[in-house]
Amino acid sequence: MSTSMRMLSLFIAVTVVFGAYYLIANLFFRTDAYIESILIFAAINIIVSLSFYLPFSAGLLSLAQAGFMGVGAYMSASITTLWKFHFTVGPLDLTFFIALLAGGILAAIVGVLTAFPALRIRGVYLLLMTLAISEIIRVFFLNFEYTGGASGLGGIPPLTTIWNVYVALVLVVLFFVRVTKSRMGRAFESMKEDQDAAEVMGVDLTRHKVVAFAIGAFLAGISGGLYAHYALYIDSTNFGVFRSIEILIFTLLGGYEIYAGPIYGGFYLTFLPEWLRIIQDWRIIIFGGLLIVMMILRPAGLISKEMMSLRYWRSTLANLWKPRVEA
Amino acid sequence: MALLEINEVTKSFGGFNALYRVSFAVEERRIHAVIGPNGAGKTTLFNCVTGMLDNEGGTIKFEGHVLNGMKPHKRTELGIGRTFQNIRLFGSMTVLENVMLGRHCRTNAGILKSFLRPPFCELAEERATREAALELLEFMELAEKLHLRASALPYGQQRRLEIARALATKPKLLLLDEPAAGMNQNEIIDLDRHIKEVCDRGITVVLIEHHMSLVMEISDIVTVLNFGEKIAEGKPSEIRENRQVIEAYLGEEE
Ligand SMILES: Nc1ncnc2c1ncn2[C@@H]1O[C@H](COP(=O)(O)OP(=O)(O)O)[C@@H](O)[C@H]1O
Ligand SMILES: [Mg+2]
Repeated sequence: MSTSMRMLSLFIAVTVVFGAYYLIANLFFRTDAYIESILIFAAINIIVSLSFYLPFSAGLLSLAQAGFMGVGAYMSASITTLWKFHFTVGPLDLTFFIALLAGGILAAIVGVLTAFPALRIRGVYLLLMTLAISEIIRVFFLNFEYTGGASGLGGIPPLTTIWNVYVALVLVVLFFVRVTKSRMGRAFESMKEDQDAAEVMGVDLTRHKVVAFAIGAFLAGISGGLYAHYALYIDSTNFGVFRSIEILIFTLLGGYEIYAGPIYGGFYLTFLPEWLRIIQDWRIIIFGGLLIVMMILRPAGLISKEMMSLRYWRSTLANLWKPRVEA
Repeated sequence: MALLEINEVTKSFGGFNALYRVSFAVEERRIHAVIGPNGAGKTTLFNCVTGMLDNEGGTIKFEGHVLNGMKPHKRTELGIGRTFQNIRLFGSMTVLENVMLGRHCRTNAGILKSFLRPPFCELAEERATREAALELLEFMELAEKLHLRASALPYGQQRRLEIARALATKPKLLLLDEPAAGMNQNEIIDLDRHIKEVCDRGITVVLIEHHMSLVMEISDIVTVLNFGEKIAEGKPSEIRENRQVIEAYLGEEE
């Protein structure tokens, strides 16, 4: 392993340990409203990055995730704000749960409708088509007076808490941990590698593409619902092209070989502009610059698949101070 | 009834006939070789049988089912497996995962089932898939390479892995596209044995190959293609004597 690779691994290890410590400290031992808000946005960003990663892991590049997020946000906010829906079972208030679920399901339905035209096209055309769909969804909400149209939808009840957002995140991560090493996870990976070979090996491409799009859209819808009930005001500009590109960047920088990439990218790229206040306004430019540097130095993103094994970390850390390690 | 019936199959690329009215039948439990010079249309024939290409004329029947227009994965379900001349393994997946993927069409655990399984408890189907894959890797003598990325294997082993992956789909018919290409003499001897063992498992083999010693030694019947047309068919001994085949492909010496 090269020295730069060892240094990068060390950097990742340190940031992960530090991030976990920071998260736990702020969850359990401190309550700072400002940090809490960043942690909540980080979790929402991770969920939506994973929503992008799922179809991507099957070889489908979707820039419609911001649109799906908007569908989930508007749907769940309609339930809690416009319809003032309440649902309790004994002492349990399930209103928010049902609103999120409804947002996710509606987004999944839109995702399936997107998947059908997407079945026949590949590569850059798919990217353009999904971008167009995202814009169609945005313009729809811009003109849909029922949910506020151009003036947006306000007065949404503050139902998102750091606790429910992190419970949702843990469930989503668990989903990826389990599905990656399963029959369907293998099928997705084979499609990403070589979709024609996968089909000849018995993978039904149509079905798997629709499933990947639907679940990706579902997760985006959930993240939209969580976002709406934290921001408390949404309008169509929240779910535009830039949002989609931001989601793409989280994954490309974090790494797209394995689900840990979007988790890492989503977390740190939410914090980075906060830690360095000056770059706030230059966010997209800085991210773009980082992206260019990464594409040259480490095209598959910071986290790679090999880093997912304990063996990798044991040997990396054990050899950290040796001047040179032969293969 | 033959296992595979190829009847007047034609396939052209922009006016050029890669296959022209090719007909032959593959009988069950045979090793059936398809030979011919480069560009003769052998791989195109496999692509038509597996559904990667649609033939324009003629019909292809497998166990009496007409395959025309059927999607590739459906044909795999019916029992047609193949390897690729230009190796097409899933390079970033491990050796084991490649073979387990082959089991996809014989299993059915969906995403929710995998997600909602009890903790620390593998699905029975997943365990069976792994065991079947391990057995095939043992069979193909790749068991030591289990956790390597497929792309990290040397060439000859990649070809064997292609066979193991195809066998994982539980084929009745296995199409091998130049499995010995790039192999050294020892590897070819092993391959010879492996193909015979595959046949002993009750699987019918169609073999595209340029190594004539291998073809002549293991095949029951040989079909010769040249410029997209069938020019001869018969026992290896007959093919060796056939004037037309010698002129088009085999050459004088030998
Ligand atoms: N997808 C394709 N598009 C255009 N031409 C093709 C394609 N596949 C094969 N061909 C042409 O068809 C002919 C037969 O090719 P192929 O079946 O690969 O031959 P073989 O496997 O016998 O060497 C060649 O001339 C090749 O260039
Ligand atoms: Mg060929």
